Amino acid sequence: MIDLAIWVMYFISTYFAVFWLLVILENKIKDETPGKLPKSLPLVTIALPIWNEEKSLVATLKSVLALDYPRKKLHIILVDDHSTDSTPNVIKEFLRTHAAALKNISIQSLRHTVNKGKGSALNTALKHAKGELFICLDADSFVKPNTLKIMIPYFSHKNVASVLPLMKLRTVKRFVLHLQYVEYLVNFFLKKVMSMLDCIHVTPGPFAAYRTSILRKVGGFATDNLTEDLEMALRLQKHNYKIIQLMNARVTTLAPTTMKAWFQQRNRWYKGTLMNLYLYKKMFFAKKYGEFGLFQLPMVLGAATVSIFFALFVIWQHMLRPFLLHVYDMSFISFNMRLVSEQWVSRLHFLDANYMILFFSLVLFGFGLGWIIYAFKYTEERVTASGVTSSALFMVIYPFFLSMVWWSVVLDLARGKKQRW
Amino acid sequence: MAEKNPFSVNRQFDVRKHGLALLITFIIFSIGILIGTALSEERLGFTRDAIELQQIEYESLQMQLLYLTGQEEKNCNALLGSLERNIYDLENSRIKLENYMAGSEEGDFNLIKRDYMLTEIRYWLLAREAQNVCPSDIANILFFYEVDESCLDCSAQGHILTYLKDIFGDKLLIFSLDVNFDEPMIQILKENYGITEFPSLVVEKKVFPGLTKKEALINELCFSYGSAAFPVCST
Repeated sequence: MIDLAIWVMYFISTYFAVFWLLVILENKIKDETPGKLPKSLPLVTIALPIWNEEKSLVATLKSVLALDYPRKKLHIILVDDHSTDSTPNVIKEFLRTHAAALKNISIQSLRHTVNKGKGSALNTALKHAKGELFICLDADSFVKPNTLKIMIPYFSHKNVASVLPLMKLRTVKRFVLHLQYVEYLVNFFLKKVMSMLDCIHVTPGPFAAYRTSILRKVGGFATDNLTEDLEMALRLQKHNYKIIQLMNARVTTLAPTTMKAWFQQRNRWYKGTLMNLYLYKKMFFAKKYGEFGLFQLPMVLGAATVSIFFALFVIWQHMLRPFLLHVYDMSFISFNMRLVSEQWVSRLHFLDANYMILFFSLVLFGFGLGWIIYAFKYTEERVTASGVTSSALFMVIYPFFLSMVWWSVVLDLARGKKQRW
Repeated sequence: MAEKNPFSVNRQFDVRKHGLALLITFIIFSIGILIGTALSEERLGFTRDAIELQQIEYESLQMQLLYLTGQEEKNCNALLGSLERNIYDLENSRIKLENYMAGSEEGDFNLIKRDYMLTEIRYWLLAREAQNVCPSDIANILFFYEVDESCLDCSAQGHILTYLKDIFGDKLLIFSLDVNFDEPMIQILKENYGITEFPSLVVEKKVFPGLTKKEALINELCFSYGSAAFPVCST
């Protein structure tokens, strides 16, 4: 029974992998040819929802000031969602010291009197937004100067609601960051492929550009949602708006640097994913949403299921349990490793290896490696020694970490843990 | 196909591509299953050959024993040596067989396993008979085990026996019987020795129910060998 479940999951995973591979092979993975950069550049509102970001805020703001864009066409809104650290002073100090650089830029600094959450902060900004375009920028992310001008032309078509840049990690200096480095590359490459099928289900915070009018039309950001960026993408898809993922527009972001922070972030993301999938359950298998409803959403849920059961079945059944049993057996013979290894070697025969399992493992490994190679290629990331280390970590350890996060989500939901959303 | 506007939202479901993906996935699975089937066949052949060889060896030993029974001057060394070696080989092949059975459809292996079980019993009987014709200090252990997952200690007991075999070498003969295997002869032995729990051991004629630790077994065996026979016995 357990084995059957593993085979079914394996079959489904292989099917997903093969399908995406076909999509890649059939289409050229490159950014769509944009429209022309309009002669009169649109006014752009850049909204920064801020909550206790004293450390990274200045660098983020500096990256905004360094944007290659006419000053008069920029409108910056800072929304301090009632920070409890020195963030308000950091903002004041920044406005004072950078007065010259801020000249001609319309900048508003707002502060919530109580902490309301990121969705509310974005809505506060949206209420005051004057720009034709509305760009979210998390205060832990940094935009490259040319990004905005690369993104603008894609809005030439009225149906385009959102344009997303490629997001990479700013530094890769710790184990936790190594773990995420390849993940970001692979995920954004995958998002590019999804974009080509109109299947994007999340518009992440760092420098996601929206058409202001569409944002207002669909009712602004969800305020009681764990992952308002995911909810927004689902809502835009529901209204059949276009979301475009770009590869050549770039932002960098600070990822969690401790295991605990990483775990908490993922717990929130994945919980948000499950809850929003539930909210939009009607889109599942809805033929009118094409690939998005019939394939993408079930795949997201399927991936979650695989991740959850991967932990339960594979880790326990094929790793932990045999190991524990072996330790148990060995305890009766004083852990005589010499004897056991000699026995093993003397009995060794070429038929002992299970070639079928070996074959299926190799196929899975091949798909994983293929994804990583493609991701490096299309995100124009140089392959370095540390990149190879990250890739190995990503393939070997990451799935276990991921299942642990999913399990924490399942357990939280099962015991009805209070969650702000 | 008409040129698509790259900025309009595509809500098509690409049946052709999904069909192709399904087909390729099926092909991958078919290859895997073919490999599995071929492996299973090879393993069947391998274990079958091993047991056929054991049966011929058995006949040879039986003949040797028959011949020696009528002799005045008996040279038992050759007989006892090859008896021990064959039983050891048989046990090793049996362990392989159990491993193979754990990883595949059991049905195909059942007939072969029956052969193994019968051969174990045959050798056990032969060893007892040999004891009458050629008295020696070789000890016999009959090991009743279950393959079932609920028998945690069966595998541990197996490890302990391997450990003992390593110490006592050709002075110890081990015969393993799967009690759940549908073979009347095993049931007869089980009832004869009053075996109700598993694992259980019969050392010479004494029954040790449940998991028996190595210290207890070493004591028992040393007693039957005489205390000075092995270094482990004098400590």
